[in-house]
Amino acid sequence: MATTERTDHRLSAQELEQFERDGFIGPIKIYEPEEMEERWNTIRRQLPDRSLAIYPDDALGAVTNISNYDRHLDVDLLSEHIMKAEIVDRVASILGPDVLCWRTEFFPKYPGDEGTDWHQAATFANASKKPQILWPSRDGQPAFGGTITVWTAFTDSTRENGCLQLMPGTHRQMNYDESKPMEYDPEAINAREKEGVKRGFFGYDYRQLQKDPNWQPDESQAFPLVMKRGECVIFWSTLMHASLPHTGSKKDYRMGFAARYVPTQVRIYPDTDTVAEYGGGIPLDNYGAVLVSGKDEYGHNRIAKTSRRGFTFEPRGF
Amino acid sequence: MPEAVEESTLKESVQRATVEWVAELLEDPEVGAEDNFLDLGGHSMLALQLGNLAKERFGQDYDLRVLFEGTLADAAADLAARAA
Repeated sequence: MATTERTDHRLSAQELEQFERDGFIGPIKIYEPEEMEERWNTIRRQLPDRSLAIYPDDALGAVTNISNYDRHLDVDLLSEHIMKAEIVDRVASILGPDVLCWRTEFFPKYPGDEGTDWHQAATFANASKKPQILWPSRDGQPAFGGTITVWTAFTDSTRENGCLQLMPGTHRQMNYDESKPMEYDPEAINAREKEGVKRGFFGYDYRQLQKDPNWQPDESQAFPLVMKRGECVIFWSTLMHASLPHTGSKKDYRMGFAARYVPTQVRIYPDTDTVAEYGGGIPLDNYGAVLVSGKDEYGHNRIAKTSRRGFTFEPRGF
Repeated sequence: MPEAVEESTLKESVQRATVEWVAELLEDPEVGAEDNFLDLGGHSMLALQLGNLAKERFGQDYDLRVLFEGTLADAAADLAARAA
């Protein structure tokens, strides 16, 4: 009998069960290390050309360049990346067939940079104070949501250069209330130690959002997610996650690229014209979410069918 | 001093400083004017530090596009043309 070759990258029943239990799956190889290196070398040379970027280049916070959000809308290799079958099929097997990519972000870490505070994000109102994603309501309340984040290591991600840390199985219960006030203080960047580790949240202190101010994350549950360049981890944004400080050498740096996905019934940036966070602000005039898989039968969100460089986003179908 | 000579001196001086700074930042004494900043192992944070040194000495920053795509000599020449 001829064997049927697997033609998609959907998670198996066992992998899905593991994902449900742990809130993450990975590392998963998306690119061979040599290919990743080549791609990143091309991308990094293209990033300074902002002529077609959708946000103006003056949206600079003290450390967080939010004007570099959503460069998949003007850099071809990033457009290709968010549509990659190895990523989209896995995400669609978690979220269902109809999926949008609503945000991409770079997460660089350079020598001397602090680690990132433990955090969870459901609505992403944490810094901007307005929900950035809104799941449909259930019993009169917005459903408990979050986003699926696919965090790809564009360079090797090591303990020394500040790899991610995860706490398995913590994705179902929010320890933080993102609607609480959180003060932006760029002076605090690289200046504070928490439990003996230099860390912060890009100018904020995520502890200010704790539902119980006296609660402390149980760091004995955490592990450092070391990844080779070209590997990704897929996780719920509601999973407790953080990162280590960069204690490595001068030339070594970590470059993570996060692509965030939600099902099409989620409203993205509801009633929002400008996102203001991390000391910067980005107008949404040129914004569009990308349909990466299936169909958009809800029509809640503005959809970008092509990038600003003319790359056509062809949704995956099953 | 004639203008052309002044410009050529400035260009040489920016190039010399650029190569010296990059060698220092990357802790690599073998750096040459024909090398590319990223190929040498440079990254955005080091580019920022390099730019600060240039702003202090020559009142201008490097154009990141030229610095990332061209040689150190190209980046220096571009900066010198703006500083002249």
